[in-house]
Amino acid sequence: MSELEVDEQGRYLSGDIPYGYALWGERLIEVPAELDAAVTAIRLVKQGKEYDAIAAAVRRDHGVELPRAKFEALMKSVYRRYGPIV
Amino acid sequence: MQLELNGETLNYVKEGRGPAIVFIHFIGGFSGSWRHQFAALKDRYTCIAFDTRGFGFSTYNGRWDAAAAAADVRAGMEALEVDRAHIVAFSMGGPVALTFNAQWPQCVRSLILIDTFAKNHTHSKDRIAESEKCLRYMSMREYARQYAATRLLPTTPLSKSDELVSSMCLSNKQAYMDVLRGILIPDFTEHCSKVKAPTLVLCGQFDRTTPVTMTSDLTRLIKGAEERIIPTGHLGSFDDPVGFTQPLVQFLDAQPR
Repeated sequence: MSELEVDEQGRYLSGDIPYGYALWGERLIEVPAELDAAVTAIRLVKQGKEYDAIAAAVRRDHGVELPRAKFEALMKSVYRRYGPIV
Repeated sequence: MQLELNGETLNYVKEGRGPAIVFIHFIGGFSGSWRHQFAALKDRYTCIAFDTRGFGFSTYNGRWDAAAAAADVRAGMEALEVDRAHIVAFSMGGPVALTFNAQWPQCVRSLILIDTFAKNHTHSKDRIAESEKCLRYMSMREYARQYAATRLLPTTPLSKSDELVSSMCLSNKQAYMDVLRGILIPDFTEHCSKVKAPTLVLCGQFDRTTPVTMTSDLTRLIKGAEERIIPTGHLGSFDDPVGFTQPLVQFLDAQPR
């Protein structure tokens, strides 16, 4: 796991690509199904669900995988941005 | 409708007749965020809501702090020939309202401070750094979708989430960041002792952004302030528009006209 770094214009510099994005040249571009899955995952965390149930739900509802490491990185970013959510 | 003031073009909505109420929205909100409250109050009050600089349909020329936003409220009131008003301030609006009151206390009939604070002592620097990084590569829409998922209660209809996202998409990204720096870092505690008008502090029982402990600090700092806790999260107007509006209406109707 390494922390994502981007420059002032949002260009990718280094680190892990966040869930919901793919690297295209020097830009992070959206992966819509994963972004929908990310929103679902956050909602389910807020409902008190654990990782396994969340991963199964996003696979079923959005047809994408949510690896544990990506899930943890997503939630770490969310907690840093917004503080506790439950 | 629009006003040219303090180097910005501020969008606003004014409806109804009677004593004036000026509404100051939350970060990512705009005048339209108050439409349920307008509907409940405009038959007996003049309801005025500005889009704060950088939000909604107002312009942003690159400076946001509570003093500038408060000066916009004052200039807007002057332009609309409103001498005194009830001030209703939601989250980000709280520090703006406290700053406004400190500068122009004679213009404040009463204060309603909702899910807000005088000093935000939780993870402010981390929040700003992470939000700044995310906003560099995320669209405002995606940032807003994740924000809505964290802030609205699980019981809140998805249509309300869409409403919040649409509102946030009207926000200028730079203004959003400048607001975080402008309200999460400074300490507005000293302004609290300057509040002499009747004050209601309203807080959501499940608010994790400005938890009840934080809003209770605010209540203690304002002499005579009344506190009401409602079963909502940080954005009660989305979680439960009716339950959110009711205490506002009760408080305002109890004030001398």
